[in-house]
This record gives sequence, C-alpha cells and structure tokens, in this order.
Amino acid sequence: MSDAGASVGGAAETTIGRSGGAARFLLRRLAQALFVIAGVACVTFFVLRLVPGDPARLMVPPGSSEEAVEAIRVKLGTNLPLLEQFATYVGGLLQGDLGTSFRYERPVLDLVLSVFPATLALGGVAILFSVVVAVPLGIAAAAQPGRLIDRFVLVLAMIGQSLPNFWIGVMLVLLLSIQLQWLPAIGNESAASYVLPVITLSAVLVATLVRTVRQAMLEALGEDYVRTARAKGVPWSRILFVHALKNAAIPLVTVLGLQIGFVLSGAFVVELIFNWPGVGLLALQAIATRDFPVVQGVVILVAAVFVLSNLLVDVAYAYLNPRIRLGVEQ
Amino acid sequence: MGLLLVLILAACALFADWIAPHNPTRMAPALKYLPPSWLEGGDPRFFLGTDQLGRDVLSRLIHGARTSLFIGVTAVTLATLFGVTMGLVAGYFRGWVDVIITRLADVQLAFPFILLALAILSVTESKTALTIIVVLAVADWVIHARVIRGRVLVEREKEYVQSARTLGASHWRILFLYVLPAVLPTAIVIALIELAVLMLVESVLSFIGLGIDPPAISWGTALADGRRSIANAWWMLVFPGMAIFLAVLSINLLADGLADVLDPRLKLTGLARRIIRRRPVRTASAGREAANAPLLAVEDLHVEFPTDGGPAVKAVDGVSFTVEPGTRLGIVGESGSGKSVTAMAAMGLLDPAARITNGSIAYKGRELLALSETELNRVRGSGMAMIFQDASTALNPVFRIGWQIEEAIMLHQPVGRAEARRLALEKLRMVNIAEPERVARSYPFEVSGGMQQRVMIAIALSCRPDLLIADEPTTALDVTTQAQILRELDALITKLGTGIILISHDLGLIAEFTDYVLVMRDGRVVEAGPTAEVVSAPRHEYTQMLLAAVRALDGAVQEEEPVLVHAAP
Amino acid sequence: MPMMSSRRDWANEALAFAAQKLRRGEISRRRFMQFTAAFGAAAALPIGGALAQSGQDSLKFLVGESFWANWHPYNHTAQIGYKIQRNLFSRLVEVQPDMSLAPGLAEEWTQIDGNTWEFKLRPGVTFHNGAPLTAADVKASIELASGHTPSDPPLAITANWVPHEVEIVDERTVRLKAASPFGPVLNTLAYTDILSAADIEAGQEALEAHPNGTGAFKLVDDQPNVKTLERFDEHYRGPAKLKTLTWEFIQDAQTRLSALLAGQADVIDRVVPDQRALIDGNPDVALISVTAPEIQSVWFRMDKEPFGTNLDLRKAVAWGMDRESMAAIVGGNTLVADSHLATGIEYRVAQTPMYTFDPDRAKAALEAAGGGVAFELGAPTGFYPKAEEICQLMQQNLNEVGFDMQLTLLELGAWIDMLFGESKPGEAFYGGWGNITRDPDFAVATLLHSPGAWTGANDPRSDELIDAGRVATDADERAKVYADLQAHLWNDLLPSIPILYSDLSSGYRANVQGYELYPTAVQDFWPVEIVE
Repeated sequence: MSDAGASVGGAAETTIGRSGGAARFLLRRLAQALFVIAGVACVTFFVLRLVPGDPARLMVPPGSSEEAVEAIRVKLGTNLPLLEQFATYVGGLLQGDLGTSFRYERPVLDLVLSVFPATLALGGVAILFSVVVAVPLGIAAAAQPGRLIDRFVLVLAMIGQSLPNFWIGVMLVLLLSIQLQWLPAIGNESAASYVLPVITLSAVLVATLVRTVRQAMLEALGEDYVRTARAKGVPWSRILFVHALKNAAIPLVTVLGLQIGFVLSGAFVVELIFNWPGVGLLALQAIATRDFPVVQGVVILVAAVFVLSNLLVDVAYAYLNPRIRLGVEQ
Repeated sequence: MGLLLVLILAACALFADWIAPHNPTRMAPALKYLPPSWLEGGDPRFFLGTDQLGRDVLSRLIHGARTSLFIGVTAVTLATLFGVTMGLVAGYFRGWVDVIITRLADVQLAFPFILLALAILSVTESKTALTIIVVLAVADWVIHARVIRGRVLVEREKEYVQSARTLGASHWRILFLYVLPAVLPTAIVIALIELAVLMLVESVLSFIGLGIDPPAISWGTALADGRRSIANAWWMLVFPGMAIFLAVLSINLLADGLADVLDPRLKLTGLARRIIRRRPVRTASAGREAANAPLLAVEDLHVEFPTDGGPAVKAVDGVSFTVEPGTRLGIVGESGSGKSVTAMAAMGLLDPAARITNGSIAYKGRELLALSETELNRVRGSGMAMIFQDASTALNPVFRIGWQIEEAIMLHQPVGRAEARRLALEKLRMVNIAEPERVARSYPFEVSGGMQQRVMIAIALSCRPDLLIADEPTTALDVTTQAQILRELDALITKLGTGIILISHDLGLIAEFTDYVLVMRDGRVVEAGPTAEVVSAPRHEYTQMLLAAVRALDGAVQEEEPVLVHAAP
Repeated sequence: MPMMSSRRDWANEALAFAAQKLRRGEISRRRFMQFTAAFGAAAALPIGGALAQSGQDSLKFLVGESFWANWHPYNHTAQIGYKIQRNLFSRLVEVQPDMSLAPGLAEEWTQIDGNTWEFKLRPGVTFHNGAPLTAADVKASIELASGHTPSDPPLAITANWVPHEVEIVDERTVRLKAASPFGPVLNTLAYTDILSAADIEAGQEALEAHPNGTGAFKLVDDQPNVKTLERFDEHYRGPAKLKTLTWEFIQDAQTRLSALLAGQADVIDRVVPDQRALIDGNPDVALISVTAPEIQSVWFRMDKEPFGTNLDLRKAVAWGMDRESMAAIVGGNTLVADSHLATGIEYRVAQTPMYTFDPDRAKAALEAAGGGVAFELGAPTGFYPKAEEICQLMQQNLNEVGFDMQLTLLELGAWIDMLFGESKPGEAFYGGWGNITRDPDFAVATLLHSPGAWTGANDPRSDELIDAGRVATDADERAKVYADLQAHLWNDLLPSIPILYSDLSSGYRANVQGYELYPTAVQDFWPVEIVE
C-alpha cells in the first residue's frame, strides 16, 4: 500500500541474522511462507462467503424457481454447510486441487495458470523497467546532490509518487493509442502492447526506487570507505558504480521486496484498463460472478508469488550483505 | 509550499459550503457537458464546466476535497492508532506477541488489497464514508506497525530504556512514557506519507467502482465519472486528476518538510550529512615532478570552512612545512587544531565545503592543487598513501579484504588479476598477518580491529608510496596493539624508505616515532623543529602543556586519555 | 522445385501475419516495411496483394457480456448466448434486422389449425460434424426445447414454450403439434436453435461440451474470454466471407471503444451513446445505432408496503420523475417509454397519459395517497447504461416532491441477490429487460405473470390477459388482448414505471462491410466482409 517502509526497510528483517546457517535460514523462511499462504487460503475462503450474492442465482435466468436455483447449488456444492465446504476445500488444497470454476466449469488451477504468465510478465517487465530507469537516475542524482540533475530527479520522483496511476494509464491511452495511434490500447499480443501498461504500472515504483537509490547512494558516499577508496586513487566513476553501489544495493533490494505486493495489486487496476489477460482481470470477473473457487485460486497463487518473491529478496539480500550471509548479528 | 497547499486544501474542505459557487449535487440535465467557461460554449457560471448530469465540476471538486480529506485523515488516524500500538507491543515485548503480530501482518501483506477492499465493501452493501475508512484503515495499519516495530527494536536497547527497566518501571509505563515519545516523530511522518497514499488508494477504489455512493462526492468518484465521459468532457477527467495530484503532492511535500525536523531518515529528498563531490579543478599550471624537489612541500596553506551566516572558520591558517624522502614528520595538536585538515588537503580529500584560499601543496615539485581529479588519482595510492584512524569504517564492508588490496595494486601497476592476488598476499604477509589466504578471503568485519588496521597499512603500502600519511593510525585500538602496530609500521617504512607524516594528539607517540615535529593549534603552527629538540626543550607553552599531559600519564592507567586531548579529530 | 514452393508458402504466411499485425496496430508501418522487405523477395508477391488478402478474412469482435460456461443452447437466458449461437446454429425461421421473420432451415410453413404448423425443410443442410440435417434432428430439437421431452431441472428455454410434439411427415416435412394453443410459436422458433438428434441423444453433457450446429461459423478455439470461430464451408447459404471470427469479452465499454479506435478490433458491441462523439469525429470508424426493444424501468415491490397497495403512490412516482431528462442522459436513440411493451414489440400501443414530468401533479397524487413516504430503491451499477445517473436524478426529483427516497447502489451480483433472494429488501428497484423476439409474450410473461413475477405482483386481471395473449393464435385477437393488457398495466396496475427504451449502438472500422445490427442485439456475421 505504500513505500513508507522504504527508508526504514533495513530494520524490517532483523530476525534473519540470528538464524545461523544458510540452510536453516532458508528452511525457516519456507516454513513461514507456507504459514502465510495457509493463512491467506483460510481468510479468503471465509471472507468470500460473507459477500452477498449467491453464485447459483447468478447462473439461472431471472425469476427461475427456487428448485432450479437449489439444483445449481447442489451441483456447485454451495448447498452444504459452510464448514463442510471448507473441509472439502482444504482436502482438495492438500492434494493440490484448487477446485473447479463455477462459471467456466474448468479446473481452477488450469484457468489460473493459463493467465498467470501474462501477469508475471507484466509485473516482471515493470519491475525490471523500474530498476533500469531508477538506478541510473538515482546514481546520477546522488553523484551531484543539489545540482540540476538531482533537483530534476527529485521533482520527477515527487510527481510520479503523487499521480494516480490509473489516471496516467487512461491519459496515455487517450493520447498515444487513440489520438496518435502509436501503441495498442489493449491486450498483450505484441511487444508494443507492453509499453503503456508497463509505464502505468511503473510510475510509482520508479519514483520510490529512484529515491531509495539516491538516498542509499548518498549515505554510502558519505561513508569512510569511500574516502579510503579515493585515497587509493580509485576513479570517481568506479567509486560510484562499484564501491558505493554495492552497498546501496542492499536497501534497494529491501525496498524492492516490499514493493512486490504493491506491484501485484497495481496490476489488477492496470489489467482492467488495458484488458490485459492476467490474474487481475480474471479475479475481478470471478468476483463479479461469485466464482469463489477461481477467486480463491487467484488469491492463493498471488500470495504464493508474493511470499516466494520475498524469499528471493531475502536470499538476494543475504548475497549482497555478507554480514547476513555469514550469520553475524548486525 | 507543501504547507500552503495543504492549508488551502483544508480550507476547501472546511468551508466548502461557502466557497463552492453551486450546490454540488444539484442536477440540471439540460446543462450537461458544458465545457469550462473560458472555452467556446462555456457558461460563465460554471468555471470548470459541468458533468454528465449538469452539475458544476468546480463545486464538486471543492466538496470532494472534504470527502477525500475526511476519509483519508480518519482512515490514517485509525490505522496509525492501531498500527502504532501493535508496533509498540510487538517490538517491545518480542516473543510470541511479536510473532503473532508480524505473521498477521505478513498474511495481510500477501493478500491482494483490492480483493480485501471488495470483500469488505460488498459485505456492507452500501458504501459510505465509514466503510471506506474501515477498508483503508484495515489495509494500512500494517505499514505503521512494521515501521514502528522496527524503531522500537532499536529504542528498547538504548540506555534510557534499560535504566528505566532496572529502576523497576512497569512495562506499560516504559512503553508510553519513554518509548512512545521516542518513536512519535516517526509515527507522525509515516502518518502523513500514508495520508497521501490513502488518498490515492481511495481514488483507485472509486475507479474500479468501489467508491463512496452518491450523493456523496469524492475526487475518486469524480475521476471515475470523468473516465466514462472521456469522449465528450475531457475536463471531467483532467481537473479531478489535477486536484488529486496537487493534494497528494502537497501532502508529500509537507511530510518531507516535517521529516526534516522530526526524523531525517524518513525524508524523501534529504541530503546526506557528508557529501563528497568532485574537486573543482584549478587552471594554474601544475609543473612537473622535479628530482631535487622535496617529497612534499606545503607552503602558506589556508583552508576555510564557511559557516551559516557567520564569517568563515579558518581551519588551517598559513601552514608551511616540507617532508624529505625517507624522513618522518609528526604533526601534533588537539582536536580542531587543523592537523587532519592539513593532511586531507594534501591528499585532495577535503570536504567539498572547505575552500583552499591560499597556498601551495607540491608533491616532488608538482603543484597538487592544480591537478584534475584524474591526474590526482595517479598520485594518490602510488605516490602518496594514507592510513585512516578507524579501519573498521574505512574498509568497505561488502568486499573481501583481498579484493580491496588487489584493487589498489591493479589501479597503479600493470598487472593481471592473478599477479595482483599474489602481490596482495605478499602485502598481507608484510604486515605480519599469519594466515594471509584466510584473511584475504574474509570480509573486514570478520577480523579483529588490529588486523583491520594492518590491512589498512597493507593497502596503503601496496604500491610502495614515497609518502605515507597516517592520521591517528592507532587511536581506535587497545594500547598493546597500538604500540605493536606502530613499531611494525616504523620498521616497514624504514625498510622501504618511505617518508611519513604521522598525525596524532599524543606527543608521546610523536616523540617515539618521528624525526621532525610540527605542533599545531587553531590552524597555526606554534612550534616546529627536530623532534628531539622540541621534546627536550619546548619553547611554546602549548607544547609544554601537551608534554605535561604525557608525563602525567607516564606509568598511570593509560586507557584514560587526558581531558585535553580526549576528543580525537 | 518443391523446396522452392514450400519456402514461398512460409514467406507468404509470415507476410500475411505481419499484415494482420499491421492492421491491428500491433506493429508500426515502418516495422512492417522492414519486415516485408526481408520477406518480400522470397514471397515473390506484391506487398499490396498480401495486405489485401489477409485483411479480408479475419475479424475481431468485442462483446460486453461474459461468455456462458457451457454451450447448451437451451439452458441460459444470456444475451451473449443468443448472439454467438446466431452464428453457430441455424433456426427454422430467422429474425431479420427489421425484426420480421424469414425462412431459415425451413423454406416455407403453413398453419394447419390453431395448434398445428407444418414446415418444409431446406435440403442439403449439413452440421459442422458433417452429418446431414434430417427431420429427426428438428423433431428432437423442438421436443426438447418446448419441454415435450422432459428434463430435470427444466431447461431455461422451456419457460418460453408450451410442449410441442413433432410429427415427421416425410424426410423434408415436419408438423409441430402444440399441447395447448400457442400464439408466439413462430417468434419462439426464431430463437430455438436446431441441434443434431445424435447430440441430444448423447445427453446434456455432450450439448454443453461443444456446439455442433449448421451455422455459418464453427467453433475452433474455446478460451474462457475468447472464442475463435472459423468459416463453415458447407453452410447452406454458401461460405461466409470471413475466414476467422474472433469474439472477445471486454467488460469495460471505454476499453472496447479504445480498442476499436486504436485499430485493435473491427467491431465492438454496446457503445455507450454519449461516447459516440469519439466515433463520429473519426473517419476510420463508424457507428450503427438503433432503439432496442429493451426497456428500463422502476419496479415496485407489489407484495410489500407502501407501494403494493397504493396505486396513487405509484402514480405520484410516475408524475414526479423527469423521464425525458433520464432518456436524454443516456442519449443516442434512447426513447422515453410510453408502454410496458417496448418499441419493435408486436401489438405495442402508445399509452396515455405520458406521465410527463409534473411535480405539482405528483405532489397532489402524493397527498391523495396519504403523504410522503420513505423508501429504498436498489439499483445495479456497471451494467445498465447510466443507471447510476438516472437513479440519482430520480432521487432528486422524488425527494423534491415529498418522498424520502434512499438510493442503494449494488454491484450486479448483489443486486440480483437482492432482487430474487429470500429476504427481499427494499421497496423498489431499477432494472432492465431486453427482448430477443418481438413477441409480446416474451416481454411480459416472465416479468409480470404470477407467481414468480419480478414485482411479486399477484394480479388476476393481468395474469388472465397474459394467458389469453399466449393462447391466442389469431393476430386480431392477440392485438386486442395486448392492447387491453397495456392499458391495464399503464393505468390501473402500474407495477413498474417504464422509463426508457434503450439505445443499442455498435461501432465498427470503416472497412467492415455488410455489418448489420439487429434490435434484438444479435448479429449475423455471414454477410460481413473487410475491404480495403
């Protein structure tokens, strides 16, 4: 929901250091990940059942008899007591079965997996794009703090952070797709169709990362080891890109990890604007038709991706920060 | 700037009824889609035009400010209260409470926010300000809790908390009387940042059809209306977008300004305390190195630091000295005497705020002040090298020790990586490190302080510099190691024929290890001469005072440094 | 030589693919030129030729309603189902753009007596699976759809039929015999797809799995939101001009329009009328627009206080609403409603009074009814065009004359639950009803006949008239019955206040030819082609 964690992200994972060896650390994080996914699965099940709207009623013609509706309920299994439905659901989950879509009458896993690559591609490209844009800008700003380039980058970051991203998306479509006809307005059929969704999704992320990189670089450049490097005769560019950057990468990775959840949430909205055939679009449709199994499937998979990517971030973090890798308390 | 905009915003929200020119919910279908008043077809009564039901866009924006701000502020207040409490409790008590709260937060963070919002908003059937506030607060508390927990983890280890605990204060008393005030500034800044975020989120919710129900107006719903009318009323899309943008921007700016005062680490646009910038290049001719010139000749050096408003501080005020090859010069003085600034000036490592107003620094007859950074880099490390006082921070924590030595070697000598590695091990052996292979593979934090200082020396001597500047090279170490390392260093430079400038507050050290000495005070040299003469017959009373301090300590407990020289530069 | 030709085929294919991408706006013209430069020589084919050829046979159609889960043609009431089935299946008679009926699989038909019709079948019709159409297929289809062959639970379509037995007179002649007189028979046949007897024999699951019709297109790829259809070369009218017809579901009207304008779609369904400015100002796209027999109304809960027992109160609502402005909010070809039967429906008669917005009269009626009342009106969002705005205006109108109307906006799923769920909250609701046939029985039976009426009304007089209309098979008789019914609904019962007849607009690229929009919201892609 926010990037406030950004500048304090370093403090967020203090427990890592004490877990000792790499294997133990990984196992522990995996166990935590499973716990989180299980929690999400349970919460989703019950929250969805609270939502008004009977899926069976949405599948019969208006004014159908109660018997007809009940027949559909029996078919879907929604006539059973809630706890019994839950037991079936958990039983299925344990066997890797996410159930069958009410609406599409297909296995949820197939359905979700068929659209998941589109979302992953969108999110992945957006994150990659953000990093590629934000890191050089952040470095450039930090290299000359207070100068023109720095001010420009800060203003850019401030703007990026203050604009509603869907507004950017709508304006881009209006301008570049409809008026100028340069880029596709919908879908994901070609490389060109990535441009607008990725820009829309990245705007906030770029702003956040640029600030993080700049701040981290400034901090690193103020450290004694930079003076040591200069005393060794290390050229300025090498100090920036090697000595300072590797240190600055640590907070960058932390912030990136925190942002993955927000990127996934943002993807829901972007997919809606650009009719991007991903999980967000699927989920919004499934919610509208009360297709509970599909919504559950989406949520569980999104949670899994979130948790696993955080795990990856932790690994990257450990790789970048030898203190953590070697199990030394900070 | 931020504050001003926020005040305008707040005024709009508070006095909407008086400011707005029209009733924002009054529909007049006959007047629908009127463009802004300055355009053709515009109606002067409707400055920003009308919407799909003939309502005044400006009035709706002004009233929308009220709803959007009310929702945002209330939600963020709730989230802050709950989140901060959770963060305090989790961070302070640790244990199972912490585990439960952080896992709960993890589960929630892994749950797509939109879905959460949809679930809550659907359960309540009607979407009032209250339900939206609840949704936003529920989604947002995690952020506050996480940040505050992190801060509390730091605070609880601090002395004042520990001592309060030993005095027997109850946990709750400590939490709310000691810890809370300490983390409050952070909480306030986070709340403001999150206010901006929540106002954006509110507009996203409206956009996907989960906004507040009419007749209530928020900017988000206005924007959603605008998107549906994109074909014939661009003003319905553009102006609400601008309103949200400006509001969020001004809140962000305000948060930034507040962070400056309350918690600089949260500042979005902050500058670091110390910034290293490229030296401005002087155009004066640098000259060539001359064979008969002294190794280093400093002449009438003046260095100033500008201060806020006041006159510039003269850190170095007319210092001159020369170092001949193979000789050992000591510079002694208390903190602020200008001895380190002089050394930094010689290495070209002055803080960018510093200004060299006059003088010359010549290395083998070549004017260093006229060199570009690139030219200077050829001298630094190979001709002149420097040892800093705290090796634990002066070594880069994320690179292996071997790498850091090899880098220095490869910068100045035409050797490959394998050869550099061999040379690096040789240097480590040279500074009496027993297991050079293991140390080379280690990160700086894995070896002891004395070992770190030896590594520093190895780096400095890796390219056989003619001149070594050692700035308090052993202050950070315990006494036994200090003496040992200095003796080794002394033997080494004698063997290599390296000249040295040893900077210290400790006249005892200077007396033992140098041939010539400069005594500095307030940026000036008060006494200079062969060390033996100065120590045996100090002429200046300041020198006598320094000497007295050393003598008083002789045989006494040496860990306690004299008050006079306690603060090392 | 064979090597050579295969290489050329491959290059041609690549060129055609690129041309298609160019047309869809996926690659820029410059990229396309680079691409063609690379392959053009190998293809040894004029570039323009490649463009024209591939440009003509593939069309993308964006719809605004999600596809049904299965392909059983008789078991849904979704408009999207009728739309796509129109192209996959054929019927004995076919609705035309003017809503008249024309021969389909039947070449001619005669009414033998009040309960019996005879149909002469067209020879040489083939199903997508290659089997020829026989009288047995027609028999099995009609008997299943009309409910003569029972199914449990009943199929959705049987609600609009009475059971018919089908007698096979000879290989090309069938006789439909109704269990009871059934006036709407021809109009109902016009949306009853003819299936293969073998598929019906194979059971419900076979029908749900895959559509096997005699229509101009056959299904080749079945994704949840994208259905790819391909020309069926043995179609009885001759092969369609398009080779590939892709249907894609995009819920958001603005997104569909963006896609059309960006050249990523050839035809889009359901353009919101007040966005037509974007189409009108663009020479590359065009709009086709009609008034649909679709009616948007305020429905009273007739089984609840305060409206159920108080006609004056309902009339006060009617006088107190600015229906003209509401129709204007939607715009386009929207018309203010003046009967419970929409435009295009047979036997429709405009009613009086028009209930033209008259706050004073509304106040008077309200006083006669015993003063202002508080009530809750539920309206669905994001489904019927401008429903939110119309209901807001209604709220302003009614509260000004002395009502205390509470507006509850519900997402579609929650709205349907509110409408038909057990607790029946609210005193009134807003909603629409589209007609897929011009027969008035379809328009009133489901909504207004008790039990099971949307309004919960239990009015013997309207039930009696609806029944009479259904069993009457004589046109004059039906006209009289439905005139009486409309007058009764408009003046004496007023279970709902019709507000407007919807605009139905569809956008298409200017190079699409032969596309026609039917008021019943279906479209026949058989004659459609794309020209340069």
